[in-house]
Amino acid sequence: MSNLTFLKKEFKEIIKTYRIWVIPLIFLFFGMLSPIVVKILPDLFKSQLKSQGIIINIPPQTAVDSFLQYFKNLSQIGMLAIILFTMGLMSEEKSRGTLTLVVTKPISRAWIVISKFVAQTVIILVSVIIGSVVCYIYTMFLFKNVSFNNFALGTLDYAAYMILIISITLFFSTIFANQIATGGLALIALFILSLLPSITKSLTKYSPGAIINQANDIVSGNATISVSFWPIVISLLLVFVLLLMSAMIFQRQEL
Amino acid sequence: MLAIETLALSKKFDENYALDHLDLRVEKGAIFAFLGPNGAGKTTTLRLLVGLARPSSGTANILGLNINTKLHEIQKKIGYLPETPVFYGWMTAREYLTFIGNIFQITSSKLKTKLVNDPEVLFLDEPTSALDPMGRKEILDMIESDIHSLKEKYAQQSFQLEFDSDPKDFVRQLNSYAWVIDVVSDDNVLKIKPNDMKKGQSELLSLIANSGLRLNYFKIVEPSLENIFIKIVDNNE
Repeated sequence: MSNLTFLKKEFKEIIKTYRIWVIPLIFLFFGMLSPIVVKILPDLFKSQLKSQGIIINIPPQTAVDSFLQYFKNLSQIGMLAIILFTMGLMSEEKSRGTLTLVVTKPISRAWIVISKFVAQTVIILVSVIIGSVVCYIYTMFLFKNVSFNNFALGTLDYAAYMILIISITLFFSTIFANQIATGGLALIALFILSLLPSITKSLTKYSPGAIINQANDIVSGNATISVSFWPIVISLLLVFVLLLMSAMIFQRQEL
Repeated sequence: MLAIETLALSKKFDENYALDHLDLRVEKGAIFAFLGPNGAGKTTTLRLLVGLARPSSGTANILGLNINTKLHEIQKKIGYLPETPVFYGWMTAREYLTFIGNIFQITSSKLKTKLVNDPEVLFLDEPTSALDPMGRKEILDMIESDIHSLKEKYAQQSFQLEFDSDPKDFVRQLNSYAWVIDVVSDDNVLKIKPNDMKKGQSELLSLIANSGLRLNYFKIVEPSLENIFIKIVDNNE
């Protein structure tokens, strides 16, 4: 029953509405700028202070600092960008009325939600990979002792968290026909997720938000990917539950 | 089988009925228009029937399929035009038709028909309100062409003739032909109902010429919608 028509439409929409350029560009920008900033900032800093007669000693920046800077950008503006680009997926189509005609055709409503999730996840993950590859290349040229494995695993760790943010935003987007409400609630959810790990020890170990710190530890060489086992499993489990709930809510929704 | 049947179909918003126990029976092949002031529940009814909204109570069947349990089956067989249809701004008209056609798994070569899935039941919510005069004409012509096929199916054309004298003998003569179902005479005017229009067209004029009567006028009368309606209702009873 569920043919690939709607998934194709989603990808076509990504292309025709320029999301195919804008989203990768954002991550490409982080990937390029993070190593450069880390490389030149200490020198800028020093020369600034020197002109004021102050001399301080800043330890030399390393490849790890470059990756940490990139991850910091991912965890802040990167997540915001994901929410921004995902919040309209369902809500805009509902408020504009473009879904009205579509759902009166023999197409499964669950499939509409899933198609949107799949297409969005693909474009965002591809963008992150592009950003990471660029970050790696720049770091390789600017610094010594670059660990590909640690950086790749840290990125992988982040990917799980990003997929969770996509599904949370899509979930609110399914509930509301309003982008502001969707974006606001997704932000609050992101905020709570990032706070949870600092509340108790067990949450530090299991909650998805712990991925942020764990990815930093992995890239610094202080931990292996196994430290994120439970946060990743729980994130993917939540993704599944959120998708299921979104599909069920949309199934019963009046358009 | 009825095209549309609603059974105490109701839609309530909070305490207010947007649609209050509607019982409706629309025969297959009928063109059924739905009139009422704003808020009467016309759009709500359509939204319930095409699956955009759910009834608060009551139910409905389309082509014998229940809207609560067989919506998917129904959606394959219907067409729906909302009052203000909204399309994707980034799609061309052709792309949109292909997109909808793909949902129905219709290949693009077959998309040349006027309506994508050749629906058995077509719901139009104020179909001409958002159109310019040309578009309006196209839609009404499309509906009319459906009426035309109805006419061919349910009602025959007839001949109307007027002579300048009473054609009694001619009437008797006509009644002996197999293609004539009925002849009604009113003074010098005759109405002839044929069961084979083409045979009538080819034979009637020579019969008139041979009868020696003088003809004032001759015309083929189109059946009226009322007549078709009565005929369809008669057929079903």
